[in-house]
Amino acid sequence: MSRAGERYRVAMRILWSRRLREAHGDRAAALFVQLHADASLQGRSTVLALWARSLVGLISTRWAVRGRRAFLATRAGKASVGVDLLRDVGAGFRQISHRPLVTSVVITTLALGIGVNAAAFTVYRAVELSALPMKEPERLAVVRMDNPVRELSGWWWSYPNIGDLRASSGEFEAIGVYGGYAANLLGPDGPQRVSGARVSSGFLATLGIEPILGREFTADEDRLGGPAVALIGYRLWEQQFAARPDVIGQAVTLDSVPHTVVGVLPPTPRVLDRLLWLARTGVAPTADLFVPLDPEAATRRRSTSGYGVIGRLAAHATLASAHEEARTLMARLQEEYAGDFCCDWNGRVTSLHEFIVGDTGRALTLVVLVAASVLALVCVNLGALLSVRASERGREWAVRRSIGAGPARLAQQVLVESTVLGALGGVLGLGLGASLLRALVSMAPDNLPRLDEIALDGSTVVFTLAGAVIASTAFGAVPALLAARRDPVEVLRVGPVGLSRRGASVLRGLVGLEVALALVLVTSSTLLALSFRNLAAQDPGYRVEGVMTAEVRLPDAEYPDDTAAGNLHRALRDRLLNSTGIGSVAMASFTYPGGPWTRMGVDGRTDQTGKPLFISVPALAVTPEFFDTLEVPLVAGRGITGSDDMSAIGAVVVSEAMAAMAWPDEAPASIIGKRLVLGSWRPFMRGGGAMPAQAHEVVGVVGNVRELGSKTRETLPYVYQPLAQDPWLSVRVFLHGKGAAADVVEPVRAALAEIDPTLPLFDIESLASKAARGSSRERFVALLVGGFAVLAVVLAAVGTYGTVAYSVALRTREIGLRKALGATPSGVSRALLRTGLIAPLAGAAVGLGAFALVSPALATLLYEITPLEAGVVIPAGLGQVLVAALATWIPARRASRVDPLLALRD
Amino acid sequence: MPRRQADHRASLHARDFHVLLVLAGGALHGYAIVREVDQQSEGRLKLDPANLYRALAQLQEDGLIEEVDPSDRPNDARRRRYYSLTKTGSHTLQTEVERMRELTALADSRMRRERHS
Repeated sequence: MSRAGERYRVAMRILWSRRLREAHGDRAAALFVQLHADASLQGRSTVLALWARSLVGLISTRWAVRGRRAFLATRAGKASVGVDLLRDVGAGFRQISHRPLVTSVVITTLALGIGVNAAAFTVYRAVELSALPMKEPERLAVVRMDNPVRELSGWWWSYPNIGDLRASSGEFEAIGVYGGYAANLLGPDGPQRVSGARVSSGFLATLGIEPILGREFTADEDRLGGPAVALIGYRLWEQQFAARPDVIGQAVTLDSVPHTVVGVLPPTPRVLDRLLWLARTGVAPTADLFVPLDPEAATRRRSTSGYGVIGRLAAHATLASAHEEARTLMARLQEEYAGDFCCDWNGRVTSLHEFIVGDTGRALTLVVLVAASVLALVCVNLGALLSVRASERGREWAVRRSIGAGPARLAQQVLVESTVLGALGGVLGLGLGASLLRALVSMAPDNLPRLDEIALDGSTVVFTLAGAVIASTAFGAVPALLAARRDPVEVLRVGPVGLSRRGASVLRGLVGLEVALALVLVTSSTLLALSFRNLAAQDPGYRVEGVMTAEVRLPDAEYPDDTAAGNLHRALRDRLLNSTGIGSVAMASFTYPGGPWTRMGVDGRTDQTGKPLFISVPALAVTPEFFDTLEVPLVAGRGITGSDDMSAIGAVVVSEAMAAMAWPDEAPASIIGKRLVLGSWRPFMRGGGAMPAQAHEVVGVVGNVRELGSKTRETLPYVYQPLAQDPWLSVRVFLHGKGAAADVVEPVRAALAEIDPTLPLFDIESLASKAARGSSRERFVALLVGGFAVLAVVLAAVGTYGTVAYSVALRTREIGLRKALGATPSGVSRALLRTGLIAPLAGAAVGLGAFALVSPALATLLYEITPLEAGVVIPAGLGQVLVAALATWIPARRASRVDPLLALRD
Repeated sequence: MPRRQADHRASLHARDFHVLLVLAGGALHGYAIVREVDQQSEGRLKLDPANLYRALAQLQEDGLIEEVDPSDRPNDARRRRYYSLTKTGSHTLQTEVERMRELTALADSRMRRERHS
């Protein structure tokens, strides 16, 4: 062979794969030799041209897609499916990169739909679907009671009634009883507040939790006057006892009383914290500490609401049979103890899952449904966008079909292409879903159950990617295949033909629907955002900014009576008032606004039936500095003073709302000196009942306050008493200082340590952040709706774009003809804009109507803004139309640039 | 794989069209095809070996041409491979020419109309 032939073979060895060389190498080289011989006769430039052509030929045949399979298959047998697939994937990438705009829109839309679904599904599954992390959780049930007549629901059973249930139940194999508990713990690092629960013997066994050290409480410890023992949680064991195994038998001081540690729990699921939180243990709901049930419990009356009951169903029992048993027992108890326990109470047994997840699960179901319908709209959009591509490629398909490419071959390529699109969208969507999830978890209200269990995992990844690929295949490949199935001749002669007339109008209708939905969501979310702003900006009637608060609880054992408690209050107040570095400081029995609702008689007034008038209002015991520190304005009379102590007559200061409620016809100044007859709930903290009511004199009237974040327009009536006359075991300190917010409490801690080093200062938080937590639910709802609104706008825009681009693609020939016949580019785009905007405009109209329908429901969520606010609804509507116009304009402009000759030739 | 039907009209790649057109004159081997295409296109289409064999492979798979057994050509001492049009191939070629004619006619009439209007 000639030198030229050798060189060609060398080039071939570099540029061609072995299989190509084996199949065609000899023939190609032989042909090259002949061509080279011809060329050399014609001169050097011809030879160079041949070389250039041949090298390019080698390269292009090596990498080209078209005809490659056949090329390979001629000699070396059929290419394997794997190679085919790889090539199709490559082709898929090339195909989608040809149309970057459409492709990126498709992928983004898909990613949005998929991301939202991944996040929603993950939350839903973690909260609602997955089993609670406990032993046989489906057999755990919670026993409560309802009173339909008094409209009370989900009340706890009293201790004596629980005793009857435990004694007689055949449906539960184990029953655990628990209640709230928190105590001051004196550890090596100083005092701290710990929380947990009072539990009966068998509580942990019922849940299936076994102590890792020691044992659970015995029945002997589970009784009135039983020994002081405690079980400690894993975290507390590590933190306070350095995880020492010899902790069993040691004493731990709780509320100044030594308790013997009998056991240590394994790390417990957060669900247990949630369970305890639902039992209202107070501050931080963590399962750190367990003590036996309140020794006083046995003395409690049948009519009080007592303890949480959790039962493990016996092997033969069902929720329904246990429910029936509880109802029967409850009916029997009300007959037997009619004097003590009455009336209309029904027993209720629900699954632990329902108890923990309940309403949130139902709300999440709604979110998942919304997310799913978003995905449905995404699919509609994909259908529109990919139909455009399909019709654009109709010609290519037709040619390939007519020269013999079979539907199976085309199907494979289309499927691969759709899968590539789907995979890209899916991966992007997964990333989006993960960050959405993070945002969702960080913004969710604290009381969203099972928050800690939420995480993306393998099955969600699979679910998401499968969803993406299925969506893109169903809505990408199907139109392409339908286009490919059409008679090639017709495609080539008539040009692309779109959906049937009915299909096209369905598509337009769906786009209108998208616009309508977007409008409703945008309007709603704008209103919610404005409402939230109003809520945040509302004047609560007292100072919030710069006020820090912290709490102190006095143990009953150390402070057995009002004198002891009052002494501590006085000592603390004196020290704080004399301490430098504190701007102003006040104390109250509870956080503000707060305080137990207290029933009081209004002296000299009667209700409609002529009986003395009683009203229930929150009552708070405060120090003299309270109104100044919190800037609650004095309207009439005087505030609380230092001389309002136990030796003076009971004084009360009322809010204007309280004054208006008790004495509606009198001016604030004229009610000074009137009397309210009230007791106090403070003995309740010592395990007692309410104090007998005494007459109190109204000495002043102050301005109204309301709970921050509360949507109630009316302010609460309020009654203030002197802390010196109502010395509670709980004290909340309010500080308005100069230093950094956290430093401000240090003088309080120091003062407290000097007076009683066993008392911890806890729940240190600014009023502002307390208020923010109060409105976290509103903020979350506003954010969620806002997120969906953004999504809806994007979808509506993409949908509009897709349908118009589709019709442009279908009408290229017609547009070309029009232009050839003298239509101007601007005329063409105007015409397209007109037709393209029909669906969005109709959608906007429908959206306005739909919004008018949902606005009454929305109104209940709004604060100081009406749903039909013109300033919101009209811009939202115009914005939608503007977005739709833009989405129409892009393809319309492209159509107006159609080259008439090109359009006709194609 | 289903073959195209005779009455279907398609637009072909220029190279495929030229190859089919030269084969319409009778079976040819690779070198002859390159030469004929060169002449027929007045030098505008020069095929290189790699692209020629790729085109031939594609056309063969599509059923438009077939390899003719070299034994049919006992005169060819080198026993080179010959390619000829199949029935489908020749139909395809005719259809393509027909389509081009129609298109030309359409464009002619339209352009004339436009010039006159």
